[in-house]
Amino acid sequence: MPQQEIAWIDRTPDIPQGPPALEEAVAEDEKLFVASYLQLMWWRFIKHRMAVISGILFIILYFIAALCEWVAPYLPETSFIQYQLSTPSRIRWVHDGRLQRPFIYGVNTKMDLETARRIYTEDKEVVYPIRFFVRTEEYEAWSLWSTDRHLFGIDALIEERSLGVVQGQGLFILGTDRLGRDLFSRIVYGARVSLTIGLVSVIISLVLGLILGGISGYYGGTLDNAIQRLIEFIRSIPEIPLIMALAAALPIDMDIIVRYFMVTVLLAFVGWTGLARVVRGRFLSLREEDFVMAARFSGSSEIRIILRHMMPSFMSHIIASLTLAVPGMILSETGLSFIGLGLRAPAISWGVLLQEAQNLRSVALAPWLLLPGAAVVLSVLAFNFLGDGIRDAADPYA
Amino acid sequence: MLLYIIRRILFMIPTLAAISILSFAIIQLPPGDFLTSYAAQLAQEGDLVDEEELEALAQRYGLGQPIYVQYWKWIKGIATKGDWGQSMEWQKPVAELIWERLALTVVLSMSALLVSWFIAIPIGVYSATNQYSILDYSMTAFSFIGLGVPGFLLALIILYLAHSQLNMNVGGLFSEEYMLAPWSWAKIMDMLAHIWVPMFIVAVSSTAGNIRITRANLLDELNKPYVETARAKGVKETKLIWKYPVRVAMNPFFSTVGWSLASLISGTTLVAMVLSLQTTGPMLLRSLTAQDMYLAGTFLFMLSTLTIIGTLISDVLLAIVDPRIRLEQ
Amino acid sequence: MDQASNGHAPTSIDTDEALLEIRDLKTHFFMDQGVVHALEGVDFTVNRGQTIGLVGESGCGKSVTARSILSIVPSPGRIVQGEILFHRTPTADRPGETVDMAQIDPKGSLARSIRGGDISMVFQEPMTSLSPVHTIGAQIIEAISLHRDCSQEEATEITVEMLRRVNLPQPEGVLKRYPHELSGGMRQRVMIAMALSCQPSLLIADEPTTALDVTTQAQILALMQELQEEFGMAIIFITHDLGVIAQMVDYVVVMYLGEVVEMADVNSIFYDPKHPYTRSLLHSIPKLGRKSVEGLTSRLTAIHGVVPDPYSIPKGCPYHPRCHDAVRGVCDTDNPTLHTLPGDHKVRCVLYDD
Repeated sequence: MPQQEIAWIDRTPDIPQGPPALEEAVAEDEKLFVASYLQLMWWRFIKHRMAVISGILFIILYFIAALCEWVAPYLPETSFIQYQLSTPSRIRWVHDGRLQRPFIYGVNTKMDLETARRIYTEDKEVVYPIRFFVRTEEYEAWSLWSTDRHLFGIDALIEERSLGVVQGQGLFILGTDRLGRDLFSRIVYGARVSLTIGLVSVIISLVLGLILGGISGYYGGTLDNAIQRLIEFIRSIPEIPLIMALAAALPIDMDIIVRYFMVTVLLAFVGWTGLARVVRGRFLSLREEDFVMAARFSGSSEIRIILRHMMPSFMSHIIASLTLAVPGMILSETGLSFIGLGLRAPAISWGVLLQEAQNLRSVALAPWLLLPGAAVVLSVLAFNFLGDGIRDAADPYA
Repeated sequence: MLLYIIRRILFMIPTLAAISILSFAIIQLPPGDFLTSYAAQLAQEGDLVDEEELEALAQRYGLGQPIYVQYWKWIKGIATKGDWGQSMEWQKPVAELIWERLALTVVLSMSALLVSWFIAIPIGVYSATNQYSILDYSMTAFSFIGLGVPGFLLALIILYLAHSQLNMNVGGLFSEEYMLAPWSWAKIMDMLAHIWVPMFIVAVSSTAGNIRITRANLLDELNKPYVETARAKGVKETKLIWKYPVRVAMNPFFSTVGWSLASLISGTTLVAMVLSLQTTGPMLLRSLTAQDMYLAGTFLFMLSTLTIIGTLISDVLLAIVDPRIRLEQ
Repeated sequence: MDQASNGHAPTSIDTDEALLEIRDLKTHFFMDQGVVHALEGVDFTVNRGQTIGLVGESGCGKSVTARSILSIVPSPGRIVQGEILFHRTPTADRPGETVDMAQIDPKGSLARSIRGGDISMVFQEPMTSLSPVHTIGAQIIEAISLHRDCSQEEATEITVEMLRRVNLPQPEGVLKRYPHELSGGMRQRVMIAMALSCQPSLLIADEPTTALDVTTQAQILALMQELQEEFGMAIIFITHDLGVIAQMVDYVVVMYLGEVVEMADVNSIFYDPKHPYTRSLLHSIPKLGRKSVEGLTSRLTAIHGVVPDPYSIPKGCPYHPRCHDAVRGVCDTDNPTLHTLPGDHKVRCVLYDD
């Protein structure tokens, strides 16, 4: 009804132009509209309680890994000759019916001649209080300086019998292994290797994933197809058997450090495909976005488009995927070292420590040998929750 | 549809070729050729080194000739005579050693896959439709822990608990009397009685993953307009959920059967070592540490081929359940 | 079966008889961040065979109103107050009855039998409103078998007839197609066929043409008018397109932030809008032949500002921060009630206080 339309339009009363009558009322809660992306992400992240707890745990874990010499009460190789496969020390608070600072009783060792096992009994007369910042074994912190202060421990004299073998009372909060080495100290030292190997290999796979996934998603076409085939090919090979086969080719007498890097590279080589897929997917969807189109029309260079326009909008997704990729690497390394193809003693990683628990007999005798596994699970969970929280927070507008 | 399947099978050929090259490369990885180490091993064991036999082996595998000739001889032997090479450690042709172990690996991985689906899908659907309920929270917690505990560690823990609490040995796939016995009905029954523990251990982490995937996919689908359309039609709520969004949310499962299979085979490898199962894992490890490379290479080749076949099956399944895929192809 | 779809005449529709009465309807969404008052007291009545237009900017509560009527408000939303009285048409096997859709169990069998049977809905997105993994036929047949007592064959027949009725070519062929094989316009026709397959007495169309191109839009609108004449159902037409409103509806309800701010018959709304919001809305659309006082083609006027944050609805009249006629000390303190002006023209604004 066009005629009618023209008719009613002319009769519509005019409305005043310009700002509304009570202008200032509008400006009040605009704060929400101008909050930055990072701020919104942060607000959403701190609402994810498990992620926050995991974030704190994450910081503590890497703090321990960085300062393992100081956190561990003993050197990882120090073997307490009298305390082989010793049960975890019982930490007590009450002595003679009086509450006091945490302490342990001295422990006497006796050999059971029938079963050829050691029996540990507490000597209720001897009290070793647990103190912070005790001075015991000397160590080289970061190979820079020498000190003998440890985060905590007991003041007990230990006497070196021969290289690495000592006699005397020790504090074994998680028990000792076959050679009388403090398991807690070994787990703490293992953290440095296990936690960094995951991080480093994820960073290497990120580089691979960014380059190949980026090329794939940004240029598309034949190149994309070829890279996709490569990814599918790698993913169709069962990961563990492949890593096993590759790791088995590493010479046995390799230097610890070299072996560490070779294992890292192997993990990255097999594990980069997941990240590449994430990067590609992001690139593909962003390529079609209007703001990228706008940047292209206004003559920005390809590099500028990628770095200035695309990167910021998928950085958070990449960080989330990275965080979620670390646990897989940690688990692979643990598994590989567990079966003896990854790191080998004298290197210390959680997988290497779990090797001690490989057969039922030793686990049945000393179940605490499974504890390095708890460290693995704890850090894997922390990474998973953290990654989940970051991923949820990455889309604050959702 | 048939055309689609044929096309997918043709697509497999280059992948298989690539896998065979990779496996062959791995066979070649250890320094020195295998005849030298074979001779050394024979000598070490006090056996007489038969020069003629060595010569015949060198001829058969084209040793001393260029690498592509060796590869060609190897692949031709497989294709024409089913000759996968010689195991040095077992002093038997590889083909005699692998089939039973491969079959057990497939049985274990496939049953774990099915178990994980049967457990994960209903739980995932419940979690998504009753978001933030107590069960949802506990299932989320379970799935996180399931993803965090590696299979071999879980196997160790269960082995220990069964031993210390129940005084039972849950390792192995067979009772002692059937271990070396030839296949029989009784042996199959015996295996069925033993397979549960390893199957559930292998299934735990993929169940955990699948619960999370189901829940997340379904949560995405639940807000789609077509669900509201169905609701506005007056469809009963439970029927509605299972008929529409669940159906769509399941598609990614079918499309990743191949990869799930790959990761299950990976998982089985380590669990098998802890529980001393007669699957491929322990033998693969042994062949790798003993540098019994034809055996190791064959395992890698066969395990990869299995997942390629799994991927093929999943593509076909997906084309059946999702009409959109059919159109694209 | 006869009256299934082949052009049965509407049985004497009394357009003065109320079909749906909504009284003081409040629907709130209980989010983590706070409570969103999506509907804050909505009142209007739909008579039998009448076409009502529900107009307003995005987020004003139009769609929530529609979903409240069907009692399919998505969680965490809930109807917290008010009545939605639906007068069910009597059929052969049951007498007419009045059902309060706000009170009954949304998942119960009564609600389900009304949904899709007596009240049906056409959605905005024809692209995603149909299940991608079921055939068109299966989806319509499901609706029919839910509400009508008939065999599979009969349901198929009705479906084919309905598809023919909405002018889809080769309806038997469409039956076996999947949604992704059809164009947007065809899918919307399918949606309409499905919605009308059980002969509802009320059809809710939630922006049914927004996602379509202009030509298709005109076709769909014409089709809906045609079908309304044939089936005689009432339509609630939800849109922000005032052109569509002018063409389609008898009566207009203007909503702002979950409240009805003005309602009147279509002519009164267009020729004599009362509420400042309605006036601004009318000025924000391009018009043919519109001249300013000086005789020049006047500029379009956008409504100042944006719809406020749903968590902090302004005190007093919710429109006052954007209003040109707002009075300090009145508009920013008290929310006026709905005044009835002559000609049954209702408006919620202090300007019309006695």
